[in-house]
Amino acid sequence: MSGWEGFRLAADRDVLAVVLGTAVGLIARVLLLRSDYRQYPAYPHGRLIHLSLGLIAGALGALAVPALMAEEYTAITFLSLAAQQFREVRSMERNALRAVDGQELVPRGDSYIEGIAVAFEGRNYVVMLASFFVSLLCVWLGLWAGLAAGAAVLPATRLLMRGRRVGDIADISFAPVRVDEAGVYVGDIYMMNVGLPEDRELIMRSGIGIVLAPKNDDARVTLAHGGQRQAILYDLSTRLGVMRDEGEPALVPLAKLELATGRVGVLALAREQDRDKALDAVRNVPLLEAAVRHPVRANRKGKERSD
Amino acid sequence: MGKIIAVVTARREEVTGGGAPVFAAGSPEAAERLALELEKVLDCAASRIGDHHFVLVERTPPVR
Repeated sequence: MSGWEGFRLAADRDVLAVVLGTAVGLIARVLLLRSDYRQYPAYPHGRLIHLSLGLIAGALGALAVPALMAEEYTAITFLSLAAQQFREVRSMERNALRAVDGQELVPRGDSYIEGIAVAFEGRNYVVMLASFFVSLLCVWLGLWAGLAAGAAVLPATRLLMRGRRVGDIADISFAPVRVDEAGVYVGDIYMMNVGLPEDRELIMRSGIGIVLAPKNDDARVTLAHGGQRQAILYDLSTRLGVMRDEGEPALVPLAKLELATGRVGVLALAREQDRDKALDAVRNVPLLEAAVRHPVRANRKGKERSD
Repeated sequence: MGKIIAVVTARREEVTGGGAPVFAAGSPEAAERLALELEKVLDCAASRIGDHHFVLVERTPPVR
């Protein structure tokens, strides 16, 4: 039997399913691996690591189906091995981001880092599920069903992993930055005491004031979370550039809560004074898993209602 | 919580107690200049207290 004949014999549905499933998994990982304004993972090595892991995840998901069909039930234990690997991905991401966070002019904050790390772990499971699904349909109904499943699954993964954004839970608007004596305000929210006229002038000149009004009681709790506010400051500073240096604590971007209403005032010193970009930046900040709470739902059995 | 690292005042008699060094200036303008210089040297934000005093406050890292 020549090698070519062996290949043709092997190229039955199982092999097709594994190859197709793995390919769809890898493509899903590429689609989920975005280097956007947050510039992560911007590093070539970071990309390589995540693409390789995506390939492994896809292969494992795709292999599971033919293994089950062949009644090789022990093969399923490989999946738990994969889960172990992907948990390591999470701590790898966490450590890497935390290591560089101290040197950022505006840090991401631990909550944001945790959110990113969890997302990186989660994406691998999505890849695994996608390739499992494609492989299943390919074995069950044939190549074309597998291809169709792949075409359906790819947009679905993007949709599944999108997550909610700050714009979904808060009304975002501009507010003037003003100075009253030594106090700096955004709209009527008190931000901080700035003692020196030089600093006040700089804040008046390049400060951008944004007010976030929570849309309901749940949103109020989420916006009050310190990690969520730090994430807003980080994204805003990254998009617009930040007018600040080490050892200039008077120029630190701030997000303060107006206790009576739950509104959040954001003051950032931006290099680029573009209002549309600023609003867009705040609107698109991801809601951190650590910050999202649903007290209204939890209290629904009682008398409390969302306003 | 903030910690007062230094105090700059144009009215020496209104500041008592210890804990942080007090810099006395002859006029509000001189106090302002002193506070600016100290802000740069100490990497601390100068806050104005009343009309004649500045405190230089070291802040613990913000809530994350």
